[in-house]
Amino acid sequence: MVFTAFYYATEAITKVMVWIAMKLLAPKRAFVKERRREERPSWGWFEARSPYGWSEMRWVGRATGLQLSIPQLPGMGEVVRASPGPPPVRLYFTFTEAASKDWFKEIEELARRAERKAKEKGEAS
Amino acid sequence: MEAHVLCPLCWALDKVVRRVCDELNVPYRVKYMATHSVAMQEDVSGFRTFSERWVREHGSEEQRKLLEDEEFKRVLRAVERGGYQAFPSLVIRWHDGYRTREIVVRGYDKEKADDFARNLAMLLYALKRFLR
Repeated sequence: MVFTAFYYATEAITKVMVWIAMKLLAPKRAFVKERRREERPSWGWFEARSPYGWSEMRWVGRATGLQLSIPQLPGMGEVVRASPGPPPVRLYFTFTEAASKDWFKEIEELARRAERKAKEKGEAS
Repeated sequence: MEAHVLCPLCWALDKVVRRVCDELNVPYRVKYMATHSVAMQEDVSGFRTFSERWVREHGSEEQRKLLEDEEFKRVLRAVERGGYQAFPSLVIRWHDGYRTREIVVRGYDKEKADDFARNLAMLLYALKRFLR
């Protein structure tokens, strides 16, 4: 009985001392709250600067590590659609004609004829 | 050059043209085509064959005279209907800044290969000088 009371008393004293040591004597540390991070998109289009100096648009993939760079060309406001252009002019020869001495004369004559035809059709040659 | 894989004339012409182009440093490539393949930048596959229309528009006077022959006409129609292509056909293509220009040479003759090589070299050299 005596021993039990002694035991509980010792335990209480120890607890108080530990409490004093923990709460009062230990240096107080401020509770640091996690600061909310700035939300930055991890994928999509980014305006970046290439190692060569010019600015470019860069696509970063969402699931994959794809990085696609498209340079921003200066002075290019609108993307102009490529036109197929005028049809090619063809001159046809057989091998015998091409091996003859007068081949170049024939080429000149045919070219002249093709130009005349194009003018009749209204195309610029 | 538009060629066929099983065409000995194409192999022979390839040697001649390759030698000339290597000497003049002109880009040259062989395009192997099937008999019924559609040629590059063509609307109709049979356009490069000798057709009646081709002879009327581009042919020489001798070829136009041949059109009066019934048998010749029949052969031409058969070729046109089949859509057969003539091999080998050498296409010299360049761009003068406004439009593509082409010279098409068809066929091969062993005896006239040297003359042709000389003519081709002169033409390519002139084109290189002109386009520079």
